[in-house]
Amino acid sequence: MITGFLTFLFFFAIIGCVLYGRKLIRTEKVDAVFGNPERAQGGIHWVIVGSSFLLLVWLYYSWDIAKSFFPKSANELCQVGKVNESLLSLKYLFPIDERQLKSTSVIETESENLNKITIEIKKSRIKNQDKSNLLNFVSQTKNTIPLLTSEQLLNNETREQIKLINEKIINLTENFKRSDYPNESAEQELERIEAAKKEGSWKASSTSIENTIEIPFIPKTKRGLKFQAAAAELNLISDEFFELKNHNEQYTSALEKLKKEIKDYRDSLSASEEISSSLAKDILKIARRIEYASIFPPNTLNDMQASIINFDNVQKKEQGSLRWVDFLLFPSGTIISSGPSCSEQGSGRWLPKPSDTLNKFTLMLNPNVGYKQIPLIWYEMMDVSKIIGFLIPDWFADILPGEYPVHNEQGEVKPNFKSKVLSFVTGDFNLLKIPIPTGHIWDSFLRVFLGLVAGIIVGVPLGLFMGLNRFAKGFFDPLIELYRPVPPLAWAPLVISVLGIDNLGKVFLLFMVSLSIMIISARAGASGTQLSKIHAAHSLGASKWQILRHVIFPNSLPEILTGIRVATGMCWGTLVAAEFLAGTTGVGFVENVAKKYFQYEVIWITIFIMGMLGLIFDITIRKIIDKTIPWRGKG
Amino acid sequence: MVFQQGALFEWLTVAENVNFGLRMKEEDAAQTQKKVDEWLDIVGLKGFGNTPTYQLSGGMQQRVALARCLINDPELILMDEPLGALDALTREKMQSLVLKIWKETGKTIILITHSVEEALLLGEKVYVMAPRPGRIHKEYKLPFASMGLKEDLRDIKNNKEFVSKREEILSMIWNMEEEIMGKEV
Repeated sequence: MITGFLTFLFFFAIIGCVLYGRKLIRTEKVDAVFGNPERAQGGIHWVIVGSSFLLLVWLYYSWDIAKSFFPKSANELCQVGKVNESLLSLKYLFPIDERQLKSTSVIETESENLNKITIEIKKSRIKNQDKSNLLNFVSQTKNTIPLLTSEQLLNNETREQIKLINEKIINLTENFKRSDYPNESAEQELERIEAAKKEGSWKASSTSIENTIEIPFIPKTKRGLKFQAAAAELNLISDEFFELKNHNEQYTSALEKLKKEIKDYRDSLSASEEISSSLAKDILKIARRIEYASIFPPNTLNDMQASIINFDNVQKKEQGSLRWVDFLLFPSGTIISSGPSCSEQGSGRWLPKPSDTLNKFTLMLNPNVGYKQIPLIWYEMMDVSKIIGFLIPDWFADILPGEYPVHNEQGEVKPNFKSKVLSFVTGDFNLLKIPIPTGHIWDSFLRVFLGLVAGIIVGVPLGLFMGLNRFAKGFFDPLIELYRPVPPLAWAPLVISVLGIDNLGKVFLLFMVSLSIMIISARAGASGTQLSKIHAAHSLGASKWQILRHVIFPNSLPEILTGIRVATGMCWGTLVAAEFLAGTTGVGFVENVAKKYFQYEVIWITIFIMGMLGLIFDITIRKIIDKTIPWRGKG
Repeated sequence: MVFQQGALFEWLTVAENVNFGLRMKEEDAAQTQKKVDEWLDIVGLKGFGNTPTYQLSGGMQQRVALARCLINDPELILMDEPLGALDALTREKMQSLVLKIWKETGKTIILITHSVEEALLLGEKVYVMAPRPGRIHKEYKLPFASMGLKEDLRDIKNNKEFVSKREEILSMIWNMEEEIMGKEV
């Protein structure tokens, strides 16, 4: 409903804005010559066209337009898919979609295999006696083929059965054309509609993150029912046909003889003659393959081929308008039936529908659902004592004089001062509870934030120091220049395996990323300070420290803040990849798990979250830059 | 020191620039503020105390630099081509400002300039320097600076004595130039 409305909205927005744009081009007086950047200014209507086009493409290629205008089309296409699936097993025997008759191609491949084995036998280092034996088996196997392809040798019984199957196909074709096919009773219909209702409609589940079947399987419409019934009948026909084997008496006896001879020959071989034995086994395998492939004489199945083609044409015709829906509204793919379910195959599969994506996102935002039992972003109440316990190191209690309490003879432990201090520094007490954010998004955010802050705290002073001091520059330069050019992800396996898959490893990795960037930018800022400013500060009586604090540091601020902006982007990119590698929380982790289970909606949601978070980071830093260094580029 | 280009700290306001020296010496804040107001008044920037320096014109920036230097009450002031980058009009105004400050404070000012006129106008003593090797070529003692304290600078410039002195020094410099560089063909 909403999708239908949006489709029209976007469509008319595009048309309206294009018309407006054309009118503007005709009526607007443009003084700017080509190449003048003024010509690129304005044009909000083209922004509308661009975004509407994008959204329309999303609606179209996710098949949401098909879903909203023809909500039952997927169910019907599923039934058509069932017919195609059943038909395929019969079709592939004939040169309809294939190049060759199945019998022809089997004969070709197996002859080729026999030739190969002949060459192998001739080349092998076995006794001549064995060679001639084996070559004899090969020629015997070859000789069984004409026994199958001879029209005269074909059993009458087999001939009759083929005729019967052919008649069944023709019969089905005729029935299929009738409008009341398959004669469903009112009772059956009621039952079917009830079952179909229970199954629900075409959409991704909005109550579960896991992938569920999106396409209803039970036919909802008369047309769908027709195809389902035909598919069931076709399945029976093809089962019947595949039970049929063209094994006449001559062939059976020839094959029996060959099998027995090979068995005797292999039994007669000693354990050392392994090569001959395995060659004989290979020949037997080929003979068996010929036996099980339904090889028929060249013209025996001609009638059947014609009636299958006829049925295929009829069923295509009976699809009627559905074919057009499939062609126009299901771009790059369609609904495919395989075994017990139907599924979207093509762009509708990996490009989730906007409505489904939104539903899943809403579901994931629910803190009780989240992803893998962890909410996307929520809060939990945490005691302040835990934070105190985290901040104060535990050895604080250890260095106090005295001993920890020992249990007495009554089996009681009486706390003394030292143990009370220990429970304080480990946070083992109750104070007021405060809300602390938690969840995947928060975890990712916190990792980037901690890595970045650590990098800034260490990197900026070190960078300034390196820019001002020969020793520092010389001492730290080799270290930094050696690790910096390595892509951060190349460090990830090492860092994660040493420091663990939890926060420590990832934060350290991000620290490494931001550290090198911060050092380089702070260093560039420090060494780029105008000498005259330092001289001025000097002549005004500033000390070394004061020059550093009041001249060099503020002067390098633009470089440092630009460095922070670059580092944020780099950290964000590295974090997601690091979360891919290992971990149990974080946006990257969510995407990685979703990838494993083909949860395309979740994948797109994580992509969207990452884009938004990256944007928020960047905008925040840009705002900070504008606020703190308004003099940038004006000094 | 006063530099060719203000060398102001653009992250600070005018007042913060001016009181930089006193702040570094950690002097009394109220006292400092009073002094800053005084000096901004002297250099004609009253009311610009909270303006960021990057919003000032070149002449105003140079005046801030002057105030920033003088507020520290230095024994000796070195001005390294302080008016070199200014336009002609601002330059004249600043010249009289320098004279005014000189008169009011009585400090020794060493002013480096490449304008002969400016040197004559502002200097009690003028040392003409020669390059290769850098050395003092000639020394002049001049009355114009003291005259400038009373008279209008533009009148002095048209003074006959002034004009002849200027020509003398200019031709001397030209001759020196030819001696060193070789005559142009």
